[in-house]
Amino acid sequence: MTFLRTHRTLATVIAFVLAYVIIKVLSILPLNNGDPLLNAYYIQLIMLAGINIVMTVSLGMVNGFTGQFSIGHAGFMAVGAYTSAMITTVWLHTSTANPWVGYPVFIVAILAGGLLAAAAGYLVGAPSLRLKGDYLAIVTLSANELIRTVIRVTEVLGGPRGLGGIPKFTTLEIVFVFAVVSVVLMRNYLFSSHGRSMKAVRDSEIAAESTGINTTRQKVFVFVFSAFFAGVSGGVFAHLLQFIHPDNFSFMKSLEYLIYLYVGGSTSISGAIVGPAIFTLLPELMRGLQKWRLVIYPLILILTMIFRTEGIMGLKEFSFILIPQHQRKEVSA
Amino acid sequence: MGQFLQQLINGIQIGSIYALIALGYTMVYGIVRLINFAHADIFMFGAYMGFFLAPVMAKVFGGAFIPTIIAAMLITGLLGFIMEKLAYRPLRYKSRLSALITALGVSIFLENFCAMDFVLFGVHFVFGPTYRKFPDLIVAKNIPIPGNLGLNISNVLLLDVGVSVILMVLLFWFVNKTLIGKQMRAVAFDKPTASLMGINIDVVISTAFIVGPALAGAGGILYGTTYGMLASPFLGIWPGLKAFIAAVLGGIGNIPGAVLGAYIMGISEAFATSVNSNLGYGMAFAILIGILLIRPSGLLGKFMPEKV
Amino acid sequence: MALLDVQHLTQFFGGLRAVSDFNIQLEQGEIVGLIGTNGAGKTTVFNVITQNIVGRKTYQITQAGIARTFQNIRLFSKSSVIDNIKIAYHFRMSYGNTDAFLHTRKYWQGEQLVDDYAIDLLRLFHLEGHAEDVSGSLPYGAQRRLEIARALATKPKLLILDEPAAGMNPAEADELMEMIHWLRDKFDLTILLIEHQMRVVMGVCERIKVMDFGETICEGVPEYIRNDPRVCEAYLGKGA
Repeated sequence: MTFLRTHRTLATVIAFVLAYVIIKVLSILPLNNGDPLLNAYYIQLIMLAGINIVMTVSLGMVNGFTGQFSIGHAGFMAVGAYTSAMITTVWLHTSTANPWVGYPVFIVAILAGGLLAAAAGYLVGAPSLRLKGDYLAIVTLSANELIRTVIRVTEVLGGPRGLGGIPKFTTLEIVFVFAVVSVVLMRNYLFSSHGRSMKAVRDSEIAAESTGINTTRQKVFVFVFSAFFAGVSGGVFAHLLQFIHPDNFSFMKSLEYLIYLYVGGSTSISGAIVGPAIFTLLPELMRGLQKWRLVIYPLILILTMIFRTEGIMGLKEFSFILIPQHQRKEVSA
Repeated sequence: MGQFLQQLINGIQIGSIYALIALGYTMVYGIVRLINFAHADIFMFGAYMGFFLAPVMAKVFGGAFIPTIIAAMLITGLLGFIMEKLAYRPLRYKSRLSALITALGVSIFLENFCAMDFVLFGVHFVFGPTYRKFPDLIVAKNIPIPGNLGLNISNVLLLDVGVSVILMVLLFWFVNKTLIGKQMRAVAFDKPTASLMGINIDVVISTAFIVGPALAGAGGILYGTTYGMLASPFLGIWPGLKAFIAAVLGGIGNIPGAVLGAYIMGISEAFATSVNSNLGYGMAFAILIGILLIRPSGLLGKFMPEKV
Repeated sequence: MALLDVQHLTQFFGGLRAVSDFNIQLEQGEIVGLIGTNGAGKTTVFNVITQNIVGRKTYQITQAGIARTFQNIRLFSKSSVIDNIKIAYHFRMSYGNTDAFLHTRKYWQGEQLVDDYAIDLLRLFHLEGHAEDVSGSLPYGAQRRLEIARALATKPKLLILDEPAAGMNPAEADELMEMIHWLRDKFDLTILLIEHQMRVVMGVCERIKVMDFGETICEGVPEYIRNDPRVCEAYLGKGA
């Protein structure tokens, strides 16, 4: 245990692997009258939850830990989804039939999607983050709708009909690897000198600036890598659903991520994991209310803001996320 | 020349509707420093109220337009009042961000609630999500303009501009001449001091949340009358976004600025649309980026650096 | 050569001349006071030095060796006490974004370094027992000390204190005066003090500048200032 306490990356990986093993076992063992408890539909939901977790954690980097208010995260997801789908499907015609060619292309494609999303993030973030105030909110909202409109009118991207025939490269294993790598990277960043500067910007931009931090550069960098992870999530998402449509990435989608984040707790990575996990799986427990989903979610958000502003997790983290603040003894030993 | 004037006129028409929405954004922002995202949905709600009330009003009063617009303004004003009371007031002394998040929550709630189709207490609630034909509140006809410019002016256009101008004049009178209006300006200028001067902040905030939404409600009626249809309960998003950008362009918190920004937005959009319909969408973003790069405080806004 | 040399500083706000032709030279190791009534222009001078040196952003000024504290304390209130110090050390950190993402060896070395540095600094200010506490929960006096410690963590040559005695009782003010002397000697600093409380300024500064309505009306050692009629007039009104 002491070993795990000093090697948190391993602890995080173990936590995710445990979750994976449990899910995998439940999807194989015939516990439900000869059928497994988790059928293909549930597995699909769990995969979506994994993607939503990365989306929400990356949004939390900007909104929760840097104190900015970005509300168009789905726009960057769209950039990644369409870029990667264009590469694998339209330009290179890859398929899952030959995984030795397919997967390398897939991985390059989703990374390319992430990079393009990051570039879009830079274009959006650089002019708006140098200003204080609510500019980022209105710019990200606008950018989200602009990206969607551009996709809608671009024939090559399938326009209003959407883009189909995308090979299903995304499996449960891919989602787990993707989620664990993304969460560990972002967690690491947060527990670094740069992460402390993010929180400094959030707590008092004036004081942060006066302690020698280039706050604009810090904000823009966080925004750009957050857009990168959103772009990669979009790629993984596209290769799970096999069909993407501009309306998959509307402003409403961005709002869903905001709900996941703020209900889970925006100032905690654990909160950004708990939120989307609950909200993605919850509707299954109340089947009859499925169509009321988008009426109930905002009500939950409003009630959370009024009665528990800091969200479910508040400032607390799961122990497998935390990195001990005092490394002095552990490192020198 | 005729083409140019025609686009100018179209721009003024759509700008009038944007102005009615933008005023609500700017008033609320000026007083509580909150982007009321739900404002766009109040505009939508007003338009749907027109759809439901017009037939009733036509039966009761004979004429439909004036009673409908007044009723819609009363209802949206009430909706704004309730919204502030239930959702924003409990958060007044919490972080500004939590109010902003709540505003988003209220917006999503209104849109999706109105998109539902259900029966409650025997009443069939259904706004959307289907397309609705907006009732004809006035009989649309074209007014010929003498001369050979080929201008096309409809009585709907005159109505849009006329109603907006009347409401704006009323608002300026309200803000500048009445006691509560003066109190609103005082609160917008310096809330703590205004409160020390004995101004009841709660009343002022409530008033802003009644007046702004009422104007948006009127805007909704004009929107329905102009386009003759209501697409879905999500119809407020785009006009709302453009109106908000217009308010930022004019200088958020500044009432004449919101009107100026709205007309600039409407006119530039009309010209862009006449070139290419997709360019019309792009115009709002071009303006937004222009604001960010050139004058973040807006045309009539003052830049106020944060006090150290 | 002077450590800081401001010449002919004039600042307008709209039509109002907030500061006119202000000059100040600070020599290494001095403790200089800047006093004046409300609206005399002290804060403007202060802001120009810490935020507006031509062509430099605030953070660049700090990196160049000018640190400050705030009149109304501005800590990173949700971060721990030790993190407040570490944040001020950020621009000196040796590792980059990649090391932060991957927690490389360089990251661990850097973290250990800053950790030792921060604990040592906190010890000097008797705050090491609170290292892990949330800084916003500290008592007022401790918050003031932490803010000064944080400013020092940037390793400045010049420290500017903005009304550090605000809200302090005489006993606390005495402690503060002692601390200012100690700071100067211990950290080899030059200190510029902007302060309202005459007792503190007179007790600690070696040289004082008095401002009134944007103009420098008097400058000299405390004894000289105390007996200058112009200063009495500015503070007490004519005929006093």
